[in-house]
Amino acid sequence: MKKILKFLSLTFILVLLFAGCGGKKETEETSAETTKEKVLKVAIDKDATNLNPVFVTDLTGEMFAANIFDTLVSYKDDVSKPAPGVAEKWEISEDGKTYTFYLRKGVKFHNGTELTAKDVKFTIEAIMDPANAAASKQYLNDVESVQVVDNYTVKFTLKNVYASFMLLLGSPQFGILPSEYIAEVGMEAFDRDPIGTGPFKFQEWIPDDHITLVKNEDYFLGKPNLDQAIFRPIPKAEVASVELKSGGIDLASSLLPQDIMSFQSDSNFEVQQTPGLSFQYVGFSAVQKPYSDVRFRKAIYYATDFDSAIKGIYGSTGERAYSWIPPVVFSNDKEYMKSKALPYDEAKAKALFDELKAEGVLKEGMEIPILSPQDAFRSKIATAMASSLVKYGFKPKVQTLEFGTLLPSTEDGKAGIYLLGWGSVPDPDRWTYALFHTDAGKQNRSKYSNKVVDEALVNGRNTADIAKREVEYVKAMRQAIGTDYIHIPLIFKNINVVHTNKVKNFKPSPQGYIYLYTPENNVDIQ
Amino acid sequence: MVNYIMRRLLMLVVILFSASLIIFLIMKAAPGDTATVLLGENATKQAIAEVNAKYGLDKPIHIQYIKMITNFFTGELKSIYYKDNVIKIVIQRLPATLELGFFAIILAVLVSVPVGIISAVKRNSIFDYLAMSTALLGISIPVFFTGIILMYIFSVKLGILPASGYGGHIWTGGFKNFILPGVSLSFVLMSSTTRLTRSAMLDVINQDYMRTAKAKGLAKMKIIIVHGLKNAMIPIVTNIGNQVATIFSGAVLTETVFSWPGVGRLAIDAVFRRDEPLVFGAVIMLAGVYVIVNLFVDILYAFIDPQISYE
Repeated sequence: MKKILKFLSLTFILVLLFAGCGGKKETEETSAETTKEKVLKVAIDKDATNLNPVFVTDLTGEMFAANIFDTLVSYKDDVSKPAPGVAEKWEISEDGKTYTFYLRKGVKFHNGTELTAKDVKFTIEAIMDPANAAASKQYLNDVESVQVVDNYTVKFTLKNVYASFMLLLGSPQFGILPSEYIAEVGMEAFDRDPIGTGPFKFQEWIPDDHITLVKNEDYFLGKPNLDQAIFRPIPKAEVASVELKSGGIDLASSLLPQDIMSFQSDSNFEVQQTPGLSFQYVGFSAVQKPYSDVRFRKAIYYATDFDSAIKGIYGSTGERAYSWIPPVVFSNDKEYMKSKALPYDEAKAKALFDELKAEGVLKEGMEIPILSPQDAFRSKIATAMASSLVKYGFKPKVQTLEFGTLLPSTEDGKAGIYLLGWGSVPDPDRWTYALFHTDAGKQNRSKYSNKVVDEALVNGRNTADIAKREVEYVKAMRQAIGTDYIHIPLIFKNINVVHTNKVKNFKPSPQGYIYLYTPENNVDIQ
Repeated sequence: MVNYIMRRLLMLVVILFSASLIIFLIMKAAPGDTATVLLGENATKQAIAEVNAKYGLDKPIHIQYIKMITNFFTGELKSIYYKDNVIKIVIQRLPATLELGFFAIILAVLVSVPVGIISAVKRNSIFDYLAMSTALLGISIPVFFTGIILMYIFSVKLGILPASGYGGHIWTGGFKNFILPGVSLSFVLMSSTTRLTRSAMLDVINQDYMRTAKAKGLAKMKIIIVHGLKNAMIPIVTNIGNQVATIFSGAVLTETVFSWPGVGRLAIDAVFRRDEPLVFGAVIMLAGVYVIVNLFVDILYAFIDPQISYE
């Protein structure tokens, strides 16, 4: 009897507990229904570290900056040409060294003060100030001065012609800051409570839990449809998929290929794909033997079936790359570069390896380290390369390292074979100069040096004419990749965004940003 | 007892200093540097030099250490990434970790101690086999697997519980969010505690005093709880104590799988970002939590077993 009583009371307590939970849900739903707030819940793969555009160094931070702030010009709807942003029009002098921007009148920061030329000057100077250690400072080396002509006119004078200058000014890190407000609170406090002119206002940041943005009713380009957007950092891609299916979130990018496939066949979800601005490659050292010998690099290219490996490992998450410059940027010399990619050919690989062994460049049983980041894709490509090298009598060793260790280990041609990636703004200069120019420094991880390439890259950077630039970049790529095989391009990754059918007017951007409002796409939720 | 606690607290200071020195040296010995990770692959040498100068990372390492430790104890140590006070950042994350920890531990103790006792008393019964094989599963299955399975059942299929995220304090409406991560985390704890309770009980169950109690005609329940469990308690408490300390210093895997804003995830992210001040501050604070929990467990021994005395 006692036992039965105990059991009954325990069950009663449990029932009460669950009833309590259920009751709460109902009230939440009713209150949401009465106010009819349009809330979009978005999964992000990691939390933001900074919200002040000057401090931002990663994609997540850039994405927030793009929604909270505005830039002089905008590339939100079309990455190939600048649209008016805070500046409604602009003039570029004939010598290509003076840029004059005419600002819109009446653009208000979220605290009500008006944006003027003074704020633009303040922003550029904040980026250039070494005390702020801004990552984008390095791109402003060619800027000689920023001048406030009047309240709504600002003039930039450059030292040289700088072809990607407009694109730079349209990057989220160049979001215009409120100079007066920052003078009051300081740059670092502003990072935790930012104020911009953008379509969404910052509301709340609970680190590692969520960031909430609310709509800016007075946005100068139009009123956003969404009332609120909640961004939740969900580090595990599998969990983001579960959250999408269970209704915990409405939209997610960076999901696993197999999950994307299952969403494609589910009518409750929409999968949107667009070619992205992110790239992965295999690099070789140009200063260390045997990697510096082009025959060795070609032999490795022949030895691994890259086409099958890429198809099998990356699935539909990207497009095979043959050059560095992505398809969304011009100078895509795809057919020629594809013809220069080496096919899987064991006989040719063996012939080249034998030739090098005969010359004493390679030794039987030689250890070949392959350095890769810890991600599931590149580490598998490294393993595929290693398993094919075993056939030729080598001892390949795959080392997967976290970035903090991997990056310094691949500097200055130290790593013989390494797998890395790149992502940048849609301008060929930003995809080539730092990696292939002799004097580029740290990013030229292979320590590659070639006069033809150097000349082409300098010409491309300092020419404004698009057709002329294209010729230079084609020349550089044909030499470095198509002749010297200093890298093996692997893939241009697609941006895949999955959202529920309730989400409307969303368009993924090649940079991987989630834009909640652009003049052409005002995101909505039903 | 007071003397003992004072001594232990004094030792805490020594431990924290040693921990700070060790973590500082490990960070310095590890390849990679803060500036490279902060500025990304695109950074120039000049930009890296500027960042190093700004955060004093170009100074000799003994000066860096002294600066870091003084800044920490004066409450001025700032994270390089978050540009915010390290102590504030860690304290912000502590409630989520502590609440989840308490929830999981209470759940684990409530289930594992009775199950362990029953398994011992009904040794080699179906219940015992079932409990022990479940415990074996609990120890062997990684938390991310249990986590995903639970999410699939309770969030996707049944739709009754949120899959991940922290919904606020457990007492302010976040209770539902605690269930899945709490159960996953406690599953691991439960398993080892159940096995340990069973073996500790088996050790005492055949002791003479147990037989005497039975001969006296005491109720079975009283024999097991008062005479048996009380004597089996020391290893169980030690085990729980160790686990409590580990969980309170951040259940990294559980926090990652369930997108939980706790200290474990914070510390791991800080290591990957080479955010030296944050790693430094977090390690000192977590070492403090660990030592204090252990001290608490040691004090608890004296209450459980009067033979243990700290005078």
